Amino acid sequence: MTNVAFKKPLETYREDFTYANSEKAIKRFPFPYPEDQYMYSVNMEHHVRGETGSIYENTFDVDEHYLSEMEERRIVLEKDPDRFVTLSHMDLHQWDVLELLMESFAQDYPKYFSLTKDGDHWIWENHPLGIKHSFIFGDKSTLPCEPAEYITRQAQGDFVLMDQRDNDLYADTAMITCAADWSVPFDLGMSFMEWHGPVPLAHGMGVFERALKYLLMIRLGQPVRRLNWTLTINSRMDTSPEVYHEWGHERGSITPENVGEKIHLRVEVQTLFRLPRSNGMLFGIRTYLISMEDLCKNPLWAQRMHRVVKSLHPEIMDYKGITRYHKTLQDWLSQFDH
Amino acid sequence: MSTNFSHTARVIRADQVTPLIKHFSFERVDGKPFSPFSAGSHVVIGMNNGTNTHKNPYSLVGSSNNFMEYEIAVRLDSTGRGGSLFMHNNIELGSEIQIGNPYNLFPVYKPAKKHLMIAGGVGITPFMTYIDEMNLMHSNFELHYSVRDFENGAFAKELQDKYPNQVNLYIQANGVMANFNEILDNQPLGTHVYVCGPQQMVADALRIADEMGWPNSSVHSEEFKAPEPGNPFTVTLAKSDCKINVRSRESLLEALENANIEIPYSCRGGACGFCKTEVIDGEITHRDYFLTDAEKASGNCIMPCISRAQGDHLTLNI
Repeated sequence: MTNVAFKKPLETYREDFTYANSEKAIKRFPFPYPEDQYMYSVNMEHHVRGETGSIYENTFDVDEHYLSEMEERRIVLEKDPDRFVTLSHMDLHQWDVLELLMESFAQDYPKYFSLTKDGDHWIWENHPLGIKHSFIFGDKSTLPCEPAEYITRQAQGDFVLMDQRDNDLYADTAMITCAADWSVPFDLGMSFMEWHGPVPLAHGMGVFERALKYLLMIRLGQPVRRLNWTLTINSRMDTSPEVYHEWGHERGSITPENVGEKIHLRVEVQTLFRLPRSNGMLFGIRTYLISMEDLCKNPLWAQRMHRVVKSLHPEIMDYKGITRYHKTLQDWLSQFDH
Repeated sequence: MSTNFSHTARVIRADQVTPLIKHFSFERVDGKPFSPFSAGSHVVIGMNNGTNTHKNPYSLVGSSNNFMEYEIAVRLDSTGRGGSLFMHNNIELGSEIQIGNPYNLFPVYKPAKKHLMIAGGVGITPFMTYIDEMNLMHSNFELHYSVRDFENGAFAKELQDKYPNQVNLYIQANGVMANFNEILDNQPLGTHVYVCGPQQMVADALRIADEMGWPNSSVHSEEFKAPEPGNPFTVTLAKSDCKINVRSRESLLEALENANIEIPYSCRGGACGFCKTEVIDGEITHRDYFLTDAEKASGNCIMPCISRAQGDHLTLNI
C-alpha cells in the first residue's frame, strides 16, 4: 500500500514560495532527458505501472505536495473561475473522468480514498481533504459543481478532456491551473493542430501528424504517456498568460548567485486515456517542479542538464522563455560538467 | 490465445429474434463487470471450433449502463466464411467464447443538434446503443429503419413501442420504402446523419445526401466489411525467415494467426488501422478504408485483415 507523507504546513507556489522537495521526492523526480541533446519527438510509451515508490507506481501519482497543490488550485479558481471550462456536449466525458479518477484513487490509495457503489448511488470519501459525499452517478444536480471540476479539484495536475470526432481531437473541457504559459479559455474547443500551433520546429518534422494518428488509436485500458519539460522561475505553478504580469518579469531576476535556488526544471508527465462511455480522451498533465540546486545533487542529472541547456536550439529556447537567462544558467551548470 | 482478447465470457441468453438474427448475452466467467462502452462500439468475438478460432467483430447492442452483460446480434450469413454459421449452430446457453475490449469506429457526433439515423436490416445494431445514449442524454434523434418484413425486423417492435415518435419503420413487404430525399430534406441546421445497412442502401443514402448538398462532415457511415475470398498466395516473413500459404477463403491475418504470429487488430474489416504491416516485396490488392491513397500507391504496407497479394506472393517485414 502506498503511504504518502503529506507536507504540513501547506507549501506555497506563490509570494513566499515555500514549496520544497524532500529527499524522497528528489529521488523519484521524472528527469526527462534520454540524451545530452534535446529535440522534439513522438516520445510516447505505454502507461504501465513502475517500481514501488516511483512516480509510475500508481495510475495517478499522489505525492507529498497533494494538499498544497489542491490549495493552490483552490486559490487560482477563486480568483479566476474560467480556469475550469467546458462545452455543453461534454457531459459523458466528464462522468468518465470522474469515474476513472475515483476508481484509480480508491484502488491505489485505499488508506486515503474510498468509493462505494450501489448501482448509481455512489459514496466518495477523500480523507486527506476531509470530503465525504453521496451522489448519483449521471445526475449533475447531486454534485456541488460540474463532475470534472469536482474530481479535478481533488487530483494533482491539469486535465484536458478531448472529444474525438472527424479524425481529430478537440480540447472541449479543461481544468488548468498550472499551465506552462498557455491559456485554456483561449484554446477551448481547438483541434489538435490548432492547439499545438505555437510549437516551433515540430510541425515541419511531422511530429504532430504522427502523434495525432497514434492518439486516435489509443484503446480502452491501454493508456500512454510522454514527458514534456520547460523551465520556470521560482516554484510557481500558475504560469498562465492570464497572470503574465505576476511572473513574466521574474525571468529578469536571475543572477549567478540565485540560479540554483530560483530556476526550476518543470516536467510534465502527460498521460492519455481512452474514455469508455464517451469515446473521448483524457489528457493528464501532471507537473513536477525541482530547483536546479536539488536537481544537481545527482551528478549524472547535473552533467546532462548542462549539455542539454548548452546545445538547446534557439527557437526552442525562445518558445520556452529561456533566452533571457540562458547564459547565466549555462555558466552555472558548467561547474558540474568536466 | 491471442493477447488481443481481454476476457473469457459465457453465453447467458441466446434468442432467435428473427429467422436470420440471433441475439446473445454474455457475462464474464470471472464474475466481474465488463468495461463501460460508448454508443456505436464493437467487440471482436473469438470462437474456437476445435481446429481454429473464428474472430468476428459485432456491434454491441445492449444498454450502455449494464456492465454485467454484453449483448450482440448476429445475422446468419450462409455464404460467408463460417463465423456467423458457427455462432448460430454451435454457440448456445453456457458456451464460452473470447471477447476483446470495445472499440469504436462509428461514434456519435457529440456536438450535433440532432441525430438522424438511417438503418437497413442488421444495420440496426449500432443504433441500439445510439438510441440508448441519446435517450439518456435527452438528445434530439430520429430513426428510419427499413426491414424486409416485420418478421425480419430485429428489435423493430421494442423500438417502436419505446419511441413511437422517433422511430419510423419501413416494411418493404408492405410496399413501404424509405425515401431518402424526403428524410434528408428540411432537417434543422446542426443535424448529423448516420447510415448503417446493406452496401447498396448505404451507397444510395450517401449519394443522395451529397446531391442534396449535405457536407461530408455531417454524414457518417459504418463501413467495415468481411474479408472477401481471393486467389491463394504465399507469404514470406523476412524477419522470422519462414513461408506461409494463404488459402483462398482465409485472410492474410488469419493465415498469420494460424501460424501463431501475433498481429494487433480490432475491426478485422480494414477500418481501424491496428494490423498495418510493412511489405518489402510483392504487389498488393488494397481493400481497406484506412491507408491513404499515397500509402496504397507506395506499396510498402498492407492491412492483412482484408487486403491480399495481387500475384502469388508477398514478403512482409515481420
